[in-house]
Amino acid sequence: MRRTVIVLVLLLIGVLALGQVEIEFWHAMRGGHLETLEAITAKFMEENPDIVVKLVGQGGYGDLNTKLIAAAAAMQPPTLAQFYADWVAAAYKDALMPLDGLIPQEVLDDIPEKLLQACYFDGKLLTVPFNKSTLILFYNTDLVPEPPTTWEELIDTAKALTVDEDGDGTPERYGFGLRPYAEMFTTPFWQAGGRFFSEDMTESLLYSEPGLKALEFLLELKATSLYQTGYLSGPFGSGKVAMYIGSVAGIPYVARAAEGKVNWSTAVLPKGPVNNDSIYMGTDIGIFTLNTTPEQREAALKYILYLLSPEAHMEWAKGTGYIPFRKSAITSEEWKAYMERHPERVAVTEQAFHGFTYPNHPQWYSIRNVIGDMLEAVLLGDMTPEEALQWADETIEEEYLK
Amino acid sequence: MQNAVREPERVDRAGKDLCVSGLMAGRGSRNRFFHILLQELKRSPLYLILLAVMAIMLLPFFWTVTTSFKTPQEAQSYPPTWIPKQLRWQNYIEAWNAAPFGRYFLNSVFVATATAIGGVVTSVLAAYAFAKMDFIGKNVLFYLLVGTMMIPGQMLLVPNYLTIVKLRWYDTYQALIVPWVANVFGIFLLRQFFRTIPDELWDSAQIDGCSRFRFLWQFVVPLSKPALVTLFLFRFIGSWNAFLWVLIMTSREEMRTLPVGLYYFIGEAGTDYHLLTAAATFAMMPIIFLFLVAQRQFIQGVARTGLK
Repeated sequence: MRRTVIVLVLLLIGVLALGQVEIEFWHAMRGGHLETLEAITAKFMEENPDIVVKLVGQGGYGDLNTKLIAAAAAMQPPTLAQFYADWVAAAYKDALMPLDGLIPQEVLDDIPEKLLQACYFDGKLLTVPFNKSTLILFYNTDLVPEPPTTWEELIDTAKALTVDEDGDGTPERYGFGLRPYAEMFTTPFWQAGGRFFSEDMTESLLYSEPGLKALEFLLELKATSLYQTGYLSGPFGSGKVAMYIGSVAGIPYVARAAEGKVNWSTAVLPKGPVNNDSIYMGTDIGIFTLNTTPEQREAALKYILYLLSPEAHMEWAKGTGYIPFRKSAITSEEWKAYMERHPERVAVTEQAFHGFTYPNHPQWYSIRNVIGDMLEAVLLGDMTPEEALQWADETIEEEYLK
Repeated sequence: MQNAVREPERVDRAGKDLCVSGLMAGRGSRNRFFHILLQELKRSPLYLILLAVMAIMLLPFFWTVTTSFKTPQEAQSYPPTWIPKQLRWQNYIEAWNAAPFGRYFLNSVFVATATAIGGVVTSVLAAYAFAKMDFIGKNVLFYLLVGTMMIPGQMLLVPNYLTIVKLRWYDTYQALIVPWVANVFGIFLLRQFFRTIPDELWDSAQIDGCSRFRFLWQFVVPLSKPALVTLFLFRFIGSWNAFLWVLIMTSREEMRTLPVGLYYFIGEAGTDYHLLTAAATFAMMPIIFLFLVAQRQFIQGVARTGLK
């Protein structure tokens, strides 16, 4: 009797296994982010017993990119992977499955247009947004009762909160924390109405009115800032810095650093001359046509649609801290109830719909480095804003656009 | 490092000299004691410098170990603290459970040991040929080999990946071990060492009817123990720390090694230092143990081959 049962069970497993499609998803998620992805994926497999999704962590984004390049060259890429837009523009435009017509229009209409723009390559939809973040203003509620809403207010508040009691020239408390990286420039540049390239992507347009405005704003801010290259969650959590602008992905770290020391919250970015948009950071997800069977591609599409479904999407945003980007999800009762329990996510939710993306240029990674160098040169006083912007334009045009 | 290594030798020599001069002058042991004391005092600035350098070298380890006992808040506190306010042993349990570290450990030990043993064996054979045998094109071949050390590893990553995939070795132990068994640095290191062994030894062995192979294993290898231990350690540590290669050549969790596990704690907007340092501490234990066991041989090996 027992033996018969075992044989039957084995047979059943065998039959099930035969009908199963296995797909691999190469990702760069770790820690809590990975746990959330695993939980969502497990639920998907429960609902779709004929599909097995193998999550394969490939280290950090740089490592993932290296491995994808190698695997694509060997004609052995996975079914699904995370991509930065410039990776796709550089290497995978012909290797990914166009998703036009496969993702229902009502889903696409539900996602901010700017966010989706970065998923189109030569007019084809090759990816969909996956783990997205924006910049956000972190502020110490003990010191800042009302968060600043404009650049001018931000500078005034930062000035008022910078305290040097013993007069030694090194403030005991800084109004603002400034970490030099490219997005610290590109966001105010965009907020002042800046555009990176000419339409045909042959000219770099950083040296412009918006570029100068952004740098002057940052220089003024720097005068009342703790300026450091390390993450600012530590100094902010200890009360040394009253405000800073950083990624929403930093929320768990701020929460931990501030616990029992300072009260804090988040606000949407202070408005510049034109808008208060933030750069959309993070990766998208796409399906390889190379080395995959139609069944695998179909299963992968099902998985992507599941990730985009309001339920899974909300679970993803809650578990990871990435921005929720489906309008129907954030207007739902569930999300409203969640925001009541997590007030720091109110501003994140609002900011999620005020963003921009970078041009889909294959060399964007290097161009971004030039922008970062330019910003540092200005903030350290090595170049004037005019010199730096002209230098950056020339370098970018000569090395990457011509 | 080199100064520290050579120091005991010099002390010995100085001690002997003193001893001889003391006896010759026919003075008592009290005098000799003062002589040594004076010598040591003269050297004290050197010791101070060495101590300072040691402190600088140990600082990162100290910080790693102390941070591994801090609470998550304290590990991120600003300004940082040196000594944890309370010991949080739990970090070690949490870090161990965050990823399959048991399996990673097994893999690391197996891969590093196999790589190191294989590396020593192939290097001994090749280095002997380059150091002690004459054949046409020896020097050209040797310089060609050494020249390959200048090719950056990243450049070879994609072609190597293709080779591994074509061999159907992807996701196997072979992929992690075999390509690293032959290595130019080891050949170079042992060749330098083997050249210090006098040719007369081979001549007389030959007269007694000794074959080349027997000479290699019975004379050269035992005489070169320090260099072999050094090479073994270098290869072991190199394999132990390898990250990118393992990441690129494997996909299955069961094939991965410790450094991949350490990556688990580095997030996008920050790092869980309390867990990362705990994991780093247990991951470096075997290396420290191995070094302590092989310390004497290792230092001799480094000192005699002129490596830094």
